Formats: sequence, C-alpha cells, structure tokens
Amino acid sequence: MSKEKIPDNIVTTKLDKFIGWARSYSLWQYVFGTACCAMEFMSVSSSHYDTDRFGAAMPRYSPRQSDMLMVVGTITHKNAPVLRRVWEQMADPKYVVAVGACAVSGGFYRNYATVQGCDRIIPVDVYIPGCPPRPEMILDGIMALQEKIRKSKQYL
Amino acid sequence: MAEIEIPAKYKVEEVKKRKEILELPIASPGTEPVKINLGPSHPAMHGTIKMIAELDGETIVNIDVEPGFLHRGMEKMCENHTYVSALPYTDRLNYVTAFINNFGYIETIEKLFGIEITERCAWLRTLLSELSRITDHYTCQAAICSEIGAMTPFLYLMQARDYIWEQFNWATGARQTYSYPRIGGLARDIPDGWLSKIKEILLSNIPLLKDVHGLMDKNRIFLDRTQKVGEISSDDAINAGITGPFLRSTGINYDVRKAMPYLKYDEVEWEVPVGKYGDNYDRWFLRMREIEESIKICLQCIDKIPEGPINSDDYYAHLPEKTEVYSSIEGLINHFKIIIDGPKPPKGNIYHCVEGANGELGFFIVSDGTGTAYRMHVRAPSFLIMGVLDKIIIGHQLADIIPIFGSVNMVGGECDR
Amino acid sequence: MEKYWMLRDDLKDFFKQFPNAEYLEQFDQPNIRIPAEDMEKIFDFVKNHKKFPMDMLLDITAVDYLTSDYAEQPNLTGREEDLYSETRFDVVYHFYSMKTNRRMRIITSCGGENPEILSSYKWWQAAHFLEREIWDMFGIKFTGHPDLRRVLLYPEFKGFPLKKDFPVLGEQPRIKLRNPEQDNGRN
Repeated sequence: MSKEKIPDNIVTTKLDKFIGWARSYSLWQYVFGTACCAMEFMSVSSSHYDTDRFGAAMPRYSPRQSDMLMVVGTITHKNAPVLRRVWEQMADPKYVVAVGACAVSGGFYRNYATVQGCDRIIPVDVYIPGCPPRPEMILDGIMALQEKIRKSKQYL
Repeated sequence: MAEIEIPAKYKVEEVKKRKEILELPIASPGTEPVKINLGPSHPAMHGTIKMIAELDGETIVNIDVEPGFLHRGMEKMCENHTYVSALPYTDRLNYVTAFINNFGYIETIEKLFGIEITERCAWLRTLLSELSRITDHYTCQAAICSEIGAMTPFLYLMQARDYIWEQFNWATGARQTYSYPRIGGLARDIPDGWLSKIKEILLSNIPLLKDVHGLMDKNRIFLDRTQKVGEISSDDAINAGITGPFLRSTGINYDVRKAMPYLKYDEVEWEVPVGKYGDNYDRWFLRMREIEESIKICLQCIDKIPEGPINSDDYYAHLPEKTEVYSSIEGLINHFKIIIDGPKPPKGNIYHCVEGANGELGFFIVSDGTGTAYRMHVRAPSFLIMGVLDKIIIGHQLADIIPIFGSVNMVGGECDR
Repeated sequence: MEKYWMLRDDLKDFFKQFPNAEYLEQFDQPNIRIPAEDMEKIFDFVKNHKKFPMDMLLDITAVDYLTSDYAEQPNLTGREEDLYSETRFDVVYHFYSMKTNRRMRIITSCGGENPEILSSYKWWQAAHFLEREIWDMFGIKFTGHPDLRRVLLYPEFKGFPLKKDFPVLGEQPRIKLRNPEQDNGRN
C-alpha cells in the first residue's frame, strides 16, 4: 500500500457512473410531435427555456441517430404503427419520455380513435403530465430522466 | 453562369398539360417514376400528414396527400357532452389560436339562446382574438423559416410569442388552451395592470417585425424558394372552397370580419391586406401585414375598453353568482340544472362562422332541445386546402413541397378534428 | 347576421321553378329542403344564377336522425327497421356567393340499406375531401366522385363512427397493444 497522495488532477470513479454521467448530458432527442404539446415543445427549445443547457439541444430527425424519443401529443390508432416502427429503429440504449396528458393516458379523448396512452405501444421511462405541461415541467422531466440514467446500470 | 436549357418536356406547363390528356404518370422513356414517402413523423410535415410522391428525377408527377393522423373523434365526443363541457374540445382545434375557436363556438350557442353580451365583454373578446391571431402568425412564420433553414427568425419569433403567452397565463391560467369564455360572458375578469403590460409588449414587437423583414424579405435564397412557387389562381381557389390568407393572396378581398362583422370589428379602423400572384412569397408577406393590422386593432381596443360587468344577465344559460348559489334556493336549483343537464336551447339548425387564422371557421349545430348538441360539425379551413394541395404541388420539385406546405399553415387539430 | 342569408323573398324565382322545395326559417336562417331527384338541376341553377351565383361551396355535412323525435323527421326510435329508413340521414350543403356576400343552406335526405346521393364534385372542387369525409364517417356513397375512400381513418377500420349506432368506445387497434403494467422489459 503506497502512502503517496493522489494528485488533484486525477479523479477516481466507477465505470457505470462515468458512462452514466456522459450519457445523461448528451441526450439527442427525436421529437415525435403531433398535437398541441408540440407547440409547447417549440417554446421549450427556444431561448426562454432552453434545453441546450441540459445537453439536450440537438433534435436529430432520424431515429438511427438519436437516443431519446419524446412522444409529444396525442397518439391515434392510425399513427400507432408509425410510432412502434420509429421506436424499433432506434439503437440501444434508448429512453422514452411521454409528454402531455394525451401521451401519458389518452387525455380526455376516450373514444374509438385514440390510443389510451403511448405506453400501450412502447415502454416509457418518464411521464410528464399536463395539458399542455408548462415548460418548467418538461425541463423537470428531462432532469428526472437524467437522474434515472445516472443511477442505472450501463451496458456497453 | 450560362443559362441551362431545360428540355421542353420537363417544363411545368408541359408536365401539367400531358398529365391532363393522358392521365398517366409522366416518365422518361424506359424509366418508371420513383415513389417516395414523406411520412407522418417528419419535422416539416407538422407531424401529421403523409404524402406519397412519385418523382421523375426531381419533378413531382403525382402526389397523394393523406391527412387524418390526428383524428381524435371530437365531433362524436361533443354529442355526449353538454354545451359547456364540450368547450375544451374546441380549444384543441386550432391549438395556436385557442381564443378564436372558443369565441366562435360560444357565439354560436349565444345565437341559439338569443343572448346579448355586454360591451366590455365584446371589446375584450376582440382584443383576445386579435392577440391569438398574432401568435398564430408568429408560429406559422417561424415554422416556415426554420424549415427552409433560417434559424434566427424562428428564435426571435418564438421569444416574442412567449411574452404574449405569459400574459395569457396571467389572465386565464394557461399558456395554450384556455377555455376562457362562458355562455353570456367570460369566466373571470382580466387583472389590473394587464392592459398596460399588453400595450408595452405590442409596441416592442414592431421593431422586432422590422428585424425579421430585414432578414428575410430581400434574401436571395428566400426569394428563389418562394417566388413563383405554389401558385394558385383565384378562380381555382374559390372553386375549391379556400378562404383566409390563402385566398387573399390570390387577389380576392374576402375576410369574414369585414363581410359579416361580429364583435367589435366594425368599430375599429383597419384594412385587409390582399396579395397579387398567389405564390408563397405573397402568403408570407400577407401574414406579416396581417400581424401589423392586428397590432393596430389591439392598440385601438386597449384604449376603448369600457368599465362594466363582464357577464350578461340571462340565467337560462350561464351560472349564477356563487353568493346566490349558496344563499337562495332558486340560485341553487339553477346552478344544479345547468351543470347536470346543460343549458337547453330551442330546437333547430344554426351555422355561424368567425375568421380563424387559416380562413373561415364555421360551427354547425343541430339542437334537439336538450342540453347536449345532437350534432356538432366544425367547418375546418385547412381541411379544404388539403384537398387541392396535390394540384398545386404537381409540376414542382421535391424541395418545393416544404415551403408550400409551410405556407398552408396546416394545424393538425383543425384539419383532422 | 340576418341580412347575409338568402331568405324567402330573395328566392322567389327559385321556388317558382322548383315547387317541391320546402322552406323553414330557424334562428333567422333559412333551411331549404329539396328532394334528391332534383339535385342536379338545382345545383346548376344555384351555381349559374344571374343575380346570386353561389360560386363557393363552404361545407357539406350529414346528420343521422336515428334516435331523436326531432319535429320534422318521422319518429325513429332505434328499432331494427329504423336503421334502414329512407330518411335516416340529412345531407346539409352551405353555399356562399362571393359577389353579393350571401349565404344559403340546402338540405336533402337519403337513407335505405346503402345510402347514395349525387356528388357535387363536377360543380365545386371543394367537394373532394368533404365528401370523402362523409363517406368515412357516415357511409353515404357519392356517385360520380373520382376517388371515394377513407380520409380521416385507416382502411382497415370497419364501420362508420358518426352513426348513432356506433359506440363511442368501439376501438379497433391496428397493431397489437402491450400491457403497460408488465415489467419494463424491452418488448
């Protein structure tokens, strides 16, 4: 056992935590926006409430290049196969955030045309309620997702 | 750079003529057109339109527009709700101008009952409708800019829109879908100091619009992408049932606010901007002029709003004051009947329209004497434009779909209901 | 609003030429009911009128009278034989004349086992998507329409949602839905 002190410019950590830290601050998002919540999302990503400071700034309009799928708005039965296909095309590790009451549970559209929540189609990590949710709530949801990523076991 | 001679068969007029005669897709000999799917989940399709385009090189020879990915069954839901509890469904029609949809629906019901609204309520409704129209045009212009590639106007306009939305939050409680009016009036009065704050914001928007004009109007790239692209003649537009900025850009002066004045539009001074060629550039410029006219109307409204009561006195249709509900038996029964059964108008058909941001937004209600509507139909302006969009796009190139579709300002909630 | 609608006095020559048409005024708006056989002649007349040419078709919609004892319709009470009554559906047209700023509403009725009605695509192209929507929601066929298929719903959907005998919760999913309470395994 060496009695030398570790110099200050070296940090020791676990591999899981290191990779979790890196993954949580570089979320590239795929915005599956359909309805009113997409307007709120446009507000969140512009200068008032910025998602860039959380590292989640780059909406990649291709599922192959993104790792966070944000389901923003109502999912109808006509749109369900599209959502499923987009999710299947994303590569692991992937995270799903359901934004808005319609994506969480169908909203107040309890009828023949609306899927009662997008978790009937794909597994969801974070649910953000609201109709539409305030931008601060969406940012809070992204922060909750970041914590979840940091705490989970990272598979390489 | 020398002018490249385009072979005659690829010119737009030739392609259109041949398509009419032969009814066949046009392709170079020995080739077949390529089918491309601009799918429903696309950043520039506003999320809910699928287009299947057949291409010959870069030119589009056939296109099939398929809306309906946001059909949420609103008309069926309104048949199972009372008149008052169906109000939030109308919010989510054109979700960027929720006030205009709300006021249109409530005015139709007020016509069923024959209720007159108070002066203060009418002026406030005019002011809020015009503010809503300003935010919708901001959203539309921002979307066009960001889809063409200009990110700066997008950020400027989103910031301006956010200032107005925060004021709406202060007055009504929500940023986007308000459900603010009630039959015969409004849910609550505006707070003190709201009007002066709105005036400040509107005056600070005028130099912002000048900035956006300076960035986009004479920009070579923007002009090439929007001039002479997406033209439609005025006869075709009238035949296709199009109204709103799309029709006014072809030269026809039809605006519901001037043709059938409702609220206080005949007591303020304003003009209707009208375009000339019917192409994308005209629609862009027309919307910018409409923002300026709306700011003019708002500033006049702010000076003219009188003091007074907000709600009318008709107790058949709107809820009594809480003090009456808790202290007198008539108030209690009135409140109970209206909440449980709904307000009961006489039987009949009625159609009433207002000027939405995309055109004439109409509500057709069939009432059978009970508190729920027997049939409620919404005449959506952007749905009719979708019907004629394939004829506009055929003959253009693939990259022209984006500015044409952006200038339609298709809002999914309104097109698909 | 009243002076923007074509009322009985303005339509004297219309009623002289088509005596079968009925007129009912509700809430200061006219409802002109015409029999389905006269539709072609009436559309020609209305579109090419000298004083009030109706050059814009604003809206077409349909109403299903299965369960109401609405005063003008026969008493349909939801029995089996009422499903195929001859006047079950009302098709409502709204027109607008750009030159003279007047509006008009025309109503026809149809019904039976396979309700059919003449399409107005020849006169107004606005009928393209509007009639497709009515076919989608009510099942009324429009003869003469170039491309009648579903527009707001998907082709595998069975039934017509806005008819009164279609339940509100009649969901028909397109793909197999998963159970959200199962473990967060990736499937």
